[in-house]
Amino acid sequence: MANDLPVRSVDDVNSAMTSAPAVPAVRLDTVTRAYGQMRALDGVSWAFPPGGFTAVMGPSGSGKSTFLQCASGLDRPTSGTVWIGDTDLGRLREAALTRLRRERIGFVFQAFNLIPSMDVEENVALPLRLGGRQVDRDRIAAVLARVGLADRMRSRPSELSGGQQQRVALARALVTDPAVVFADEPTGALDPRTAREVLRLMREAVDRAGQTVVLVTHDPVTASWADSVLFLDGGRIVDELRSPTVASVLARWDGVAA
Amino acid sequence: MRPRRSDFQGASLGVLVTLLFATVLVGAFGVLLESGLRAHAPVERYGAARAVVTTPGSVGIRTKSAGSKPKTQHRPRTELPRIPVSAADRLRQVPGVRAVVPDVSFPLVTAGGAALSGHGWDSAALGRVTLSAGRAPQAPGEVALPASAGARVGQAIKLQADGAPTPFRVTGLVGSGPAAAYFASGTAAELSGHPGFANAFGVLADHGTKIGALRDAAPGLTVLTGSARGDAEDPAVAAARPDTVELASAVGSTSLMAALIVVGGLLGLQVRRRSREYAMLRAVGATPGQVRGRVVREALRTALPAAAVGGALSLAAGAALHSAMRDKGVLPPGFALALSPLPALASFAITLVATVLVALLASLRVSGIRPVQALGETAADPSGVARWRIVVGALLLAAGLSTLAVALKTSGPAAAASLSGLIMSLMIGVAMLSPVIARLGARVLGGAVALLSPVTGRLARQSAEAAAPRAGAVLTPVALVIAFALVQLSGVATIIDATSAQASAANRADRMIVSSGPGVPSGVAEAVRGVPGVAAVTPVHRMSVAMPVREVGDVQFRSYAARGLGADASKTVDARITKGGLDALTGTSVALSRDVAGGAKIGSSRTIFLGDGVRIEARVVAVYERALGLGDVLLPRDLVTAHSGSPLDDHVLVRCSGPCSPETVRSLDAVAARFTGVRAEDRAAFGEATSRELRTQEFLSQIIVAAIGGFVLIGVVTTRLLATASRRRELTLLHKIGATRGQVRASVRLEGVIVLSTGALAGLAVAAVTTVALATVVTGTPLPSLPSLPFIH
Repeated sequence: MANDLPVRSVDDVNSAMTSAPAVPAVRLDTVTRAYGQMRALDGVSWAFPPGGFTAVMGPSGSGKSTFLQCASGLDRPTSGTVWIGDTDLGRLREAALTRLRRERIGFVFQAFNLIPSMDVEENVALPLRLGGRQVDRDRIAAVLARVGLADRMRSRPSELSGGQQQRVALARALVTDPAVVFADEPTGALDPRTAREVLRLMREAVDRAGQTVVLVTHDPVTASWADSVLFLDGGRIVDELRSPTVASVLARWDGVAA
Repeated sequence: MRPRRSDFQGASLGVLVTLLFATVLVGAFGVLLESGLRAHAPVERYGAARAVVTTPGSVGIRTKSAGSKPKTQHRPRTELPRIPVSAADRLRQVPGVRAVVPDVSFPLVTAGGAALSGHGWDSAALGRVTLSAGRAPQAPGEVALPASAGARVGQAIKLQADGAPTPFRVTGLVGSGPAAAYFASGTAAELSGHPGFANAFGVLADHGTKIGALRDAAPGLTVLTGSARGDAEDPAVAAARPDTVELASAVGSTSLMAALIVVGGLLGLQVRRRSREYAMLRAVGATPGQVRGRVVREALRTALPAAAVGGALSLAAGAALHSAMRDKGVLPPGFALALSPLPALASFAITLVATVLVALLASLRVSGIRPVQALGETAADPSGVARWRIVVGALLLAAGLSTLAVALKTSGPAAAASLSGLIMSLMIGVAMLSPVIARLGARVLGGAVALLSPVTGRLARQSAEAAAPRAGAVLTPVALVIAFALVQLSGVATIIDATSAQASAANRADRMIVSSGPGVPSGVAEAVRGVPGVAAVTPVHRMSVAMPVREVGDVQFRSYAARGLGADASKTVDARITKGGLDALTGTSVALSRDVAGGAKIGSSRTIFLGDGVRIEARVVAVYERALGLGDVLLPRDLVTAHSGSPLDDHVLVRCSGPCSPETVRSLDAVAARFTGVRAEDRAAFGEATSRELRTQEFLSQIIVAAIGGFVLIGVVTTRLLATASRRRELTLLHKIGATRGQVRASVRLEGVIVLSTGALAGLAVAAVTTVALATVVTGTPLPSLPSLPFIH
C-alpha cells in the first residue's frame, strides 16, 4: 500500500476502480458488542465499498459510536468479525492492531485531539513518527497544503481556530495515506461554514484520492455530503439511504426516530 | 524531543524538587559513606615511618548460617593494643630497615588541665619531631613539651599520668606537631603502666624496603602504610567506620524510599491527568509500549536536571553534614572527610534508575487506557483501584503486624531490627492502600465536615470521595512524613529517657568521682577507700567489646558497650540481677544482660573480644536486666583496664554507710582535689551529665527528620496543587451551574482538609503502632517519650 505521494492521481484511482476486484474497505460480519446485559451492537453486518463516503446516523444510544469503534479497531467486538481490507482484526494482538490502525486507518475526532505542546507540523507528523518512519517534510507540507494550512506549520493548536484545528486533525489522519478515514462527529464543534470546509476536504479525499470515509453524525447537512447514509437504531442497521439530500435524510430520520 | 515549558509545570515541578532534594540527601550520606569506608585518623606522629606495625584493626569470626556458605564477620578493634617489644626483633632483621621504634601512648594532664599524650623520645623520629630549644629528655624526671604548652626550658612542672600529679623538669621544647609530651624511653614505658609492651612499632626504613618482607617478619600483626598509619595512632576513627557506613546507607536508602513514594504518587497523578492525551496517542497509532516509553521519557527529562544539580550540591551538603556531625561529637574528631566525585555520580545514577523504575510502575496504568477514551467528550476519572495494590498493601500491613509480634516477643537487637522492618512495611502498605484509605477518610471525615457545613461540606465530601485515587497520592506523603518524624524523634527520645532512667536506677552510689579530662587516675579509687564514712568504692572503666550472639538462629558478631566494674560492685550497682551475682565478677568472668545472654547458664563460658582485640573465654557469673542503663556486658574492671589503651577510669562510684555526712563529702572533695581535673559529684549532676551525653544521639535524628520531612512536605504541596489543577474543568463547571466562587473555594479547601487529615491520621496510626511497640520493647510499658524540641539544647 506504500504510496509515496499523499495524493493519488485520478488515473490511479480510475485504474484501481476498473481492475481491482471489489474487496470491501471495511467489512463487519454479525458484529455484537455487549456491555454487560446491554447490547450496543446487535449482530451488525455491513460492507463498505472502497472509495465510498458513508455517513452513519442514529438517535443517541443507537450504537453508532460503538459501531465506529468496532469498525475501526479501537474496540473489540464481543462476537463477530471485523475486516479492514483482507485483514481480520480479531486475529491481531494489541500491538499489531495498533500498527494496522497507524498504517491503514485515519481518525478525526469531534474534539480535534491535537497535542497542545506540539506545533502543527509535529502533530501531523505524529503517526509517522510513532511508526518509526523517516519523516518526509515535503509530504507533511503537501498534506498541509491539501487542507489549506501550508503557512501554519509552526503554529501551536492554541493559536488556531476550531476549523483550522480540525483541518490539522484531518491532515494528521491523511498523512499516512490510509485506506479508511473514520470520523466521529467531526463537525460537531464547528460553525456551518467551517464545517462545510472540513466536509469538502473529506469529500475530496474520497473523490480524488480514492480513500474510504466512514463518518458518524446526527447532523443531516453533514450526512448529505456522503454517498450513502446508514441508519442505526437499537444496535441494528435499520435502513440505508443512497445519494442523500438534506431533505431525504430528514424524512428518513423521522421514520427512524418514530 | 526537546523540553518544553509545560514540562516544568505541575507534577514535573514537584518531581523536580523532590528528586533534587532526594539526590542531595542520598549524595550527602554517600559522602559520609565514602568517608566511612576510606577515613583514617590523621597521620601525625608516624609521618616519617615507612610503615607502622600493630595488631589487626578488626577482629573476625567465621560463622555459618543454615544453607549458606560460611562467612567471616568483622568488628573493629577499638583500643590501642599491647604488643611485646620482643616482636620488633624480627622486623629489625628485614633488609633496608634502619630502626624499629616501639611506641607507647598514654594520656597526660598538665597542672592547668590541658590534655597531652605521652610518648618515649625515641618515637619523635617517627614524626620528624625536632627540638626547637633545649635537649632531649634522658633521666626519669625529664620531659620535652610542645612549645605551645607555654613552658620554659629548665622549668619544673607537674604532669598527671595514672596517679597523682608528679613533678618533671622541662629539658626541651618541641616546635611543631601534635599535643604530645616526650619522656626518656624507660620512663615512658613505666608511665604507660605496661613496661615491656608497645602499642605499635614504627619502622624507619629505606624506600626500597619490601612491605611484604615486613609482613613476613611480623606474623599475626598488620603492617600499615600511607594514610592507614593513622589508625595505629588513634583507633577511634577506624572503630567509628562500620557504624558510619551502616548509618549512611540506612538514611540514604530511607530518603530515597521517601522520595520514591512521593514521586510515584506525582507521576501516577500525572498519568491520570494525561490519560486523555495518551488515549488519543493510542488512537492515532501509538502502541502501549510507546506510550509507556513516553511516560518514562517525560519523567527522565525532569529527573535529569534534578539529579544533575542535586548530585553536584550533594558534595557540599555531605561536607556540611560531616562537619556538623563532628562538631556535635557524633563522629570522632579525627574522622576526616573523604571527598570524591563518586557520591555525586552515584546519587545521580541512583536517582535516575529509581525514577525510571517508578515511572515504569506509574506507566502500567497506561495499559488500562483504551484508545476509545479519546472519543468521549470528557475524560472520566478512572476511579477503580488496581487489585494488585490492595493485595500487596494488605500483605504488607499483615507482614508489618507480624513483625510487631516478633518485636514484642524478642528483645535486644532482634527487636530493633524487626521494628525498623515494621515501619517500612507499614509505610509502603499505607502507600499501596492509599486510595482505599482516602475513600474511608472521605466517608468518615467527610461525614463530619458535611455535618458542620451542609452545602460546601457536602460538596467537599462528594469530591473527596469521587477523587479517592487522586487523594491517595496526596495523603501518602503526609502520612509518610508524620509517621517517619514521630517514629524517628519519639523513638530516640524513648530510648534516651529509658537509658537515663535505667542508668540512674542502676546506680546505688551516693557520690561519683568524675574527670573533666581524659579520665580518673586509678589511684583515686584507693585513696577514696580510706575516707571515713565510705562503705563501698567501685571504679568503672568503659570499653566496647565484640561478641558472637545467636539471633533468630544465626550467629551474629556484634559490638557491645561494656563496663569494667571494680570491687564492691554488688553494693554500688543495681543491675537487677536475675541469676548469679556481681560479687563473683573477678578474674576472667562476665555478667551479661538478658538480651545477649541467650539463656546462658551461670558458670558457662562465653567468647568475648576485648577492646584491644584479645579474645577471652569468660565465665558467666551473672545475668541482669538493666541493659540500657549499664550496657549489655559487665566485666571485672582489672580485666578491662589491662586491655584498654588508657589506664584511666571513667568514673568512680562511692557509697557512704548510710546518708553521706558533710564530713565525708568534704573529705571526698579533698581527695579529688589532690588530682588534676577530678571532682566529686552528687547523683543529680551525674545523671544530668549522662543524659547530656545521650542527647547527642538526638541531633542526628533531628537532621534526618528535618531533611526528609522537608522535601516530603514540598512533595505534599505540589501534589495537592496538581490534584486541584487537574480538576479545574470540574470546578469551573460547578461555578457555571450556580455555585458561588466562595462556595467552590470553600469546598476545595474543605476537601483539602479531609484529605490531609486522613493522611495525618494514617501517619499517626503507623507512628502509634511503631512507637508503642518500641516503648514496650525498650521500657516494658507502652508509653513512648515525647521528643525534645529540635536543635534546642
